[in-house]
Amino acid sequence: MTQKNQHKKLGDTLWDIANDLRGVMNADDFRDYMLSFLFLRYLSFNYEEAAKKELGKDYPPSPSKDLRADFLVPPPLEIWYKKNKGDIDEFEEQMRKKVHYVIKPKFLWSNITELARTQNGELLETLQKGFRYIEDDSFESSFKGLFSEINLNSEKLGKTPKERNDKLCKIITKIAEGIADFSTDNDTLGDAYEYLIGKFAAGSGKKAGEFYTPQQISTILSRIVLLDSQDPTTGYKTKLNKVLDFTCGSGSLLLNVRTQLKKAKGNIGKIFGQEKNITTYNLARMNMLLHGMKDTEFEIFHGDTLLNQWDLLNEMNPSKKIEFDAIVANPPFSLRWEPTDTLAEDFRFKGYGLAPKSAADFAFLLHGFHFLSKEGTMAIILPHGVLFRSGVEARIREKLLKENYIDTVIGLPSNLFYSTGIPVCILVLKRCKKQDDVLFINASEHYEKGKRQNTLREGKNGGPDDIQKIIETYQFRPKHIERYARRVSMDEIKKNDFNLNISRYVSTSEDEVQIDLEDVNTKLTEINKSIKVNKEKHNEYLKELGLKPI
Amino acid sequence: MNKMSTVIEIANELKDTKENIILIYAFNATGKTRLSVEYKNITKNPKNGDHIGVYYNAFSEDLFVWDNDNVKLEIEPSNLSKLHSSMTEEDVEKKLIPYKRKYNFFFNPSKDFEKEGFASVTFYKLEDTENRTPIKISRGEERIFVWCFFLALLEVEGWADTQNAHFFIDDPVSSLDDHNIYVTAYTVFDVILKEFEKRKIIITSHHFGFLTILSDMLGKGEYADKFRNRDKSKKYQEFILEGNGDDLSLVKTKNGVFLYHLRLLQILNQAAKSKKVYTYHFALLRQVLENIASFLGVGQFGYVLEQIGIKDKERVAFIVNALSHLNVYYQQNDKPVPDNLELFNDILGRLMDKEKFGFKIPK
Repeated sequence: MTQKNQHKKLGDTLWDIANDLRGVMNADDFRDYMLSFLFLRYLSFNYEEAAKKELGKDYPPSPSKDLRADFLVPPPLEIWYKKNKGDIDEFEEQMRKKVHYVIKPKFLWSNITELARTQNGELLETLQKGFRYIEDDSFESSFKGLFSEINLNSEKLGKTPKERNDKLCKIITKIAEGIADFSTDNDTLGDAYEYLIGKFAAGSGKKAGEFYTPQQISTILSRIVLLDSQDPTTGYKTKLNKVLDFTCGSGSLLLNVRTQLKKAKGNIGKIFGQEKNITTYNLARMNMLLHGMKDTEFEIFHGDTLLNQWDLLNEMNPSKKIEFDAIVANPPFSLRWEPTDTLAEDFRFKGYGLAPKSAADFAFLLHGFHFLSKEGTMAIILPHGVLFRSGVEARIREKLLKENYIDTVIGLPSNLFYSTGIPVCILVLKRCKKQDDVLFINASEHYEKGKRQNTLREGKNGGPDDIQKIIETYQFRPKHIERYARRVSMDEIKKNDFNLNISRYVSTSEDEVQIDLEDVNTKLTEINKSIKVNKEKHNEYLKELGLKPI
Repeated sequence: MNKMSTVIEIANELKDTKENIILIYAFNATGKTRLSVEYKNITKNPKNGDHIGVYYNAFSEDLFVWDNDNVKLEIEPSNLSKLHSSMTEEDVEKKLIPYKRKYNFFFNPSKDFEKEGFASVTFYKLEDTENRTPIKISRGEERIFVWCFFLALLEVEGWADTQNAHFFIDDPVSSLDDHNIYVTAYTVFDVILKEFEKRKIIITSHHFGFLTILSDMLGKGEYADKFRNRDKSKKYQEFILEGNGDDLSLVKTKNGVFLYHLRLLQILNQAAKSKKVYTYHFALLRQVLENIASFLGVGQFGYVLEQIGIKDKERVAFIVNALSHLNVYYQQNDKPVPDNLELFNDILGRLMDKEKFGFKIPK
């Protein structure tokens, strides 16, 4: 099995289990349980691997007959703990240095699965203690509340503690058995985790306020912000100091930036994300760890972006202002919000205006843009409305254009998102832009039509590569590609009242049917001839019958 | 007898009413929609002919048409289409929450999204997230959807906030079942609560249950104080629109009591007394019976017949039902046969016997 297939197969296995087990529970609730268990499994295996290295030949052999990692009981570490009580503190300290966290043997996944397999009545309590331990002690309390939304005592699992315990036994056993044969390396599990989040997002239909960015669109945003901002033709950057997604959801877009940069053999200093929904925020943190990131390599904040609740982004001293050299975002589309007088004076919006209450789109854009470094690139997904809506939005648009901050406008095909059919675009912004024109890319007609939704093609089997086409057009900024892209001067945009609707600049209309007049003429002549001939013939008959000709 | 007026006169009367909330009851085919159109005409900005208010009426509903070949609900282009770009499915979903919808949907944008907005809406079953096979939704569901679409549209900048003089809601509950009528009354009440201090809100309906709920919420509900002036007078007005053809009259409800079945009984009583009972009065009689039945917490009006001492309630119910068939509205001069007239008088007489239910019938 190739790497790529591994995570998909694992994802599908887990998805089947989810479908099988969720029963009365809705997809979103079940998602949170399932992902938390996977996370525990990941932390456990990762930890045991590190412990094995740390202890070397002192790491005791497993007495278990079952060789699958999910069922090694008792965990070898537990045996070591029993024999070396005096050395535990020192060992844990070492582990904190090496993997940044500690897990007590009884909370390890293999022990939990054993409790589940044997229908042990202690399962629920052990699991609960385990989660609390990870939150409070494992990471020296930098992961407070990680499992806060996982209610093991929820009625959804059962009416009585016994019922809940039994149900958990069933769920955990199923998961453990389903995934035991898969590799335990972090990429596989991380990618499967990611895959599952996507599946859940698609499967749950819609959930208010939560938008999952399809991977292909993530990839476009990631590659754009990775290309050199001043001269994209020189290719990808090899180092990004700080990357931000200020509406990060489960963090998949940020992880995509990291993946794309890794492909380009580069590395990231630190990843920053902000998320308002607490459950999703917790998922993001788990998602980062699951992809092998250390807790020091990322910072995810739980809070309201529009109100700018993150102290890090609220530094009053301009010299200490934090700046990012790559910013990506897929904020909720046209979110209703409540702009207040205080917000009108906010440093992020003051110079541009306050987005209207029926659509916070520009508020999100301005928030991000405020923190973009001089050499940075920001790519943000927004609904088409931001390109042409009137009122205060027109004024914000005009200001951004006059200051020459808008670099590229990319129109995407409709129906790429799980949750909405509204047309969306990508805006690319830069603080120090080289050209004084705006590049328009009309990518809306290049996609594969799907039953449920449309997808961007990835050039498989020599077919068209819609993603690559967008990236290359952005990268090389051609003057004009018929019906696809054009560099438009600021003068022309001004003539259009700073309206950025793509159809004004790049033709999106269907070709009109060409009429060949000469051909029509010939046909008409033929018809006339034929009329004449037939009329004469007809009159012949009439004459023979002694009737009046016509 | 009430003063007869033209629809323009009534529109003007409503315009001059100082209260900001107006509830109007009218039977189907009385002229509610004509009234809303007339109201629109007389309130237009004389300088530029712009509308100064917002309307929800049969025309709004007619902007939505089923494309049965492709199973989608098409949205006719209108001057509202340009507002679509500030809306998402989620905004409509939020409005649909109290209705417990059984479907999911997504918008299909038109090619010129800036000017034409959404071209259509595709619906699919809640659980069909995999294929999203288009489905047709029921008439009632469609009405609710359109209503919620407009509720969401009202919150978009550039429409209701600029045309802010009034909000005329004409019968948002046609084709709805009882539960959804109740829910719709709540959504309308939300609009009233939010907007009545800033603009005039006129609500008309053929459904007295719907208006009674609204009236109760205004008069006795949790927020009742908001709808009273300091001198305890009401900040709202309630009317009944009566008449046929061009002759209309706007009748104020008495003593702040907004019980339409009483008004109906009054009409029926007048008809019986003046010996001008027509077949369509059976429809009204049936409405009274149904209203009393739901007032008493039972579904079938047979129970009411039983309570007022009708022995052969099944046969009587059948006759009442048969004679109150919809098209009686089109044959308003048909006289019932003597047997049925006798039945009518019998039922009415027993209903009017106020001892039974403790009604006070207005004279």
